[in-house]
Amino acid sequence: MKIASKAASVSFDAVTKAFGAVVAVDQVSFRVEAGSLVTLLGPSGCGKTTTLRMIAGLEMASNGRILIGDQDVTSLPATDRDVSMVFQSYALFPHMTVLENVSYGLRVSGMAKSEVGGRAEDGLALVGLKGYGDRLPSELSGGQQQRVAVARALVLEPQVLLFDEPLSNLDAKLRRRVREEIREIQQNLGLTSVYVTHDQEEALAVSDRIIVMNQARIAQEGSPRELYDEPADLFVADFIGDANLVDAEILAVDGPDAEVTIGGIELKLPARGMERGPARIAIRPQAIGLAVQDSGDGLRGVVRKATYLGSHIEYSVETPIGELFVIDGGVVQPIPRESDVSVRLSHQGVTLIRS
Amino acid sequence: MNRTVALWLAVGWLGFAILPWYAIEDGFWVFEWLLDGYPLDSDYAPGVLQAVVDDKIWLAPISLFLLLPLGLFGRARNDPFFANLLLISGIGGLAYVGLQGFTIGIDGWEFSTLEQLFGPLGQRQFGLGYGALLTSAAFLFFLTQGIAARGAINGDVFVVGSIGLVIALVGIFILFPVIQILLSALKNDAGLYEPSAFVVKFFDKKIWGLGCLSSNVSCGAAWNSLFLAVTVGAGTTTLGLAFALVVTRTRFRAKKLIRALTVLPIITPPFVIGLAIILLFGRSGSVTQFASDLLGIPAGRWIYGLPGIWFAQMLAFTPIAFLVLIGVVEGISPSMEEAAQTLRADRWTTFATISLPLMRPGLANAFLLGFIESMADFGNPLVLGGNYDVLSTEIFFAIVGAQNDQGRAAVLALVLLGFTLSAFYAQRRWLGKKSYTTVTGKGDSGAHPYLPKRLTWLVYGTAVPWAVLTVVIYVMIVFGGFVETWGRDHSLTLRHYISAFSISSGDGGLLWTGSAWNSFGTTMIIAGVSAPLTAAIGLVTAYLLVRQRFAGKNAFEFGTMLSFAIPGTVIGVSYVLAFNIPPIELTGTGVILVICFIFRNMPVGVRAGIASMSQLDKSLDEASLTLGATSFMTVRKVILPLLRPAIVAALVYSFVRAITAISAVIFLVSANYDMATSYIIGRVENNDYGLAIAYSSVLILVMLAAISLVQLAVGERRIKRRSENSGVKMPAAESKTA
Repeated sequence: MKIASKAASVSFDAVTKAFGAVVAVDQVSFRVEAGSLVTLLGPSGCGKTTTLRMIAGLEMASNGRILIGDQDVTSLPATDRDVSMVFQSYALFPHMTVLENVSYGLRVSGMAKSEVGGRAEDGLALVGLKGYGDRLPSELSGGQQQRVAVARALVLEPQVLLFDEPLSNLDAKLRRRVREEIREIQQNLGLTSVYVTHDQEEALAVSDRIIVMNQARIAQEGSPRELYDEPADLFVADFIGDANLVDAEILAVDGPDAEVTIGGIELKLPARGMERGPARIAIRPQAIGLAVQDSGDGLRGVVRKATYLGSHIEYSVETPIGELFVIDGGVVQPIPRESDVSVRLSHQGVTLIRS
Repeated sequence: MNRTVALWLAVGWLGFAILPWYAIEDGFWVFEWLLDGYPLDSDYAPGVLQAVVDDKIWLAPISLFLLLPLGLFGRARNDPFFANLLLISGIGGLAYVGLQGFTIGIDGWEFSTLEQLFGPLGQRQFGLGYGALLTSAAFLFFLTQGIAARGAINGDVFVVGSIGLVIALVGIFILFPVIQILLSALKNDAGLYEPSAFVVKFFDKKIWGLGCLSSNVSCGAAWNSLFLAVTVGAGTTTLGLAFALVVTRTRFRAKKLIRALTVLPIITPPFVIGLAIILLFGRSGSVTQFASDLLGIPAGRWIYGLPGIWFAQMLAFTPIAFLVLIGVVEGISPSMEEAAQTLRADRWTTFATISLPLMRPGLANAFLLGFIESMADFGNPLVLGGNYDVLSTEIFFAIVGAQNDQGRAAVLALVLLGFTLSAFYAQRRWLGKKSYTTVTGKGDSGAHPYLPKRLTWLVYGTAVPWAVLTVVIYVMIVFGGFVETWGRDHSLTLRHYISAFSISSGDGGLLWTGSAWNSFGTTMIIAGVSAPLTAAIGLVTAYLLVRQRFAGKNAFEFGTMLSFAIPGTVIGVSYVLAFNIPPIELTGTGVILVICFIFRNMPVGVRAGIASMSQLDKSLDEASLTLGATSFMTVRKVILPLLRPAIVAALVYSFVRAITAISAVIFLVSANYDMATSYIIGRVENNDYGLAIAYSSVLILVMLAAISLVQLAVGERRIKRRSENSGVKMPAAESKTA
């Protein structure tokens, strides 16, 4: 494989971007280590795409510093940054063939003609499109166009490779396959990549680290596991995976553990540095077990809705602590609607959260 | 110091130290001066030598500004010193060249106070020439590079340079002449500033008089123009709507024919329709004679005046209204109308409550365009006006006729400009925000419903006779060129064609003996030169407007679209006023015609560019930029190839408009550079209708041929569009996330 990587880290130092009075990105700082894939995740309008475009140099920061490797690129335009980007719409040049598209960056940066062709072919081979060079983009399927866009960005051996929602125009099946391919190429070449998506499952699947953004700020940063198991706040708990958010009270804190009561049930959970007093807990839908037989004390509820989804069943259960959303793998014996059930919480997937 | 600065520094010195500083009398493309005393002759000397040889010491300081950029050696581009030095050199140089040009003119000092201060000046200055042009360009680009180096537009030299260039050109060739009009409106007959002279001329009875309401005198030209423009606007909108409905919402069979008819007026010199109307309804016109022979109606001159002008303008401008309205009528999403029908509305109710209200902005737009076109029209009132004075022709007679009153022409031009600018402003202000665009990128399926029966007949009744009339008019135009003397002797002849376009072989090979060849050749050359320039500047402007964000963009857009609202006669007068004396001396040359066409037709190029550029997803540019291309390369390799249809449109349109234009041209033609239209008008004034008509038919044919040729040469765009997932997306489908 001739295509190498010149991976460099990316650092944001209190970067702000304002469009007139609207602040799109507010005092954001983070660091992307060389060779890792970091995802910017958040709902639309949270500032993640603007952040990505500031790495590319397509938007200029209003304040703060941006570094790629050791170089301060804050005021460098896109042309002069060693960064390439895969666009949501792919942005393949419709008047050029696939090969011309892939070699475009090499040609405009003045590489010798003799080398350009070979490099571009290598790039196409890397994404499995050998022999497609003479086609026009419009003659390719969506997934193939997507891979051309990746190849076009890769052949420049950029310090940082950016992805702006690269899968959003693909259907669900293809999306899973392409994201695995992207991850594989990224890991094989050791590329530094920044990836923008609003799909939390996609983010969990491809990332080394995830930066969750909300309302122009970073809500939480961490590995996929950290974000899922220890969400920092209600927003992250709700955004990454589903969560039932329930009011609770911390009765006592004993070292790392806290005694918590929810609607009469007492639980022992990691305290996560919280004090006595009212709090909230996030309960993952998979962490709730339902049972029809009467097991005496504990939380009880009534099944109001049951939706059969093949691999699992989703229940909506009315309980004294509120309506709970439950995912149950027991598809063999579904619980009928309006049944009285006892509700048990497992230890995994129940987390204290500052309210 | 980087390459771009070095390049422009070289250009600046080339202009100042090598090329002649002043304009060469013989013409822009004549190079006899090389053998005729250059470089020491004071007419041809470069700026440096002018200071020495001819004691024009005021030129010497320019070299200072040209030396400044040398201080950039060894400086990095992000060094504040780099930007500041370029700014000083650019601003200082431009200001100094401009200042010396305006203060020292053809008779020495331009202002008497300066003469008192420094004593009379022996030397005289002529218009700026090659040298001054290059040096000023160098200063301009020093300035823009300085601005770019300070970080404007991400430090993009190409974009800042383009903005600077367009601003400079619009400033010199649109704003400066308009300001000249304002100034000369304030001058009295002796050329001194006297505001009361303006008041007297402005409130002249011939402009604002209302005599026609009470007695038998004619009204003022302003009222006449206004009345004509309102009635023409209303008429063309109604007819245009009828045609648009016929094409989109009836089972009418010859829809293609209607579409083809709409192209004709675009390639017809405006007054030709007036001519054909004279051939039909004039005193010796066919219809008139038919009526007098058969029905005993005495032949009169009723067509000359309001009826004739109105009729001719209706014929000429209905297609414009049609083209505006067809877009609007087709743009109404069929699903809206289908929704109404599923809600139990019948066809008539659907049309009245859904379709028609959605067309409202289009109707207003069509009306205002008709209004502006009618106000600005010069050819038809000139041919058919009779005693009905309108502003555009009054301006012409004020400057060309026995009066030769520049002040009056300027005042009339201001009144006309006031009307068209108000209409233009109303159009932008009122319609700009309020577009009921219902076309989305989603690709609506469904078909427009047909019109209700009664309405269908009404629409047919309006549109079909009009279409027939248009056909008859054009048949007259072709036929009229082959007839001996219209109305008297209808025997067929080739006499007119021969006298206009004969070629004979003489001693030196072919001799172009026809009387039209001279103006025909000039027209072709000028149109051919100006068309690509117009397209280029129009597309660059469109690129800046669509793709770049910069301070003052709204003012920039207004400036570039302004010339669309300035009637040709006003442009013509203003060019005469502005470019007759140094520092920019262009009257009597071919260059002034080329420049006039470029800036008259630029809005068309801009519009065409904006329309197709906003259909290109911005991520295409961004992809190119992130792949390491500069914005110049992005424009060249990505945007331009995708803009071929817009390029064709701009090329064809500016070529055709340069051939058919008359209003501005008639002020700017000279013995050496006569244009076809002004030649034809001259023949018409001599009652030589046969030759005029013959020449016009030839022009129409040439333009048809040119359109087909350009279409062939530029070729089709090489993309097959897929409905989705391709890089080219409809703007409405573009989602701006995060």
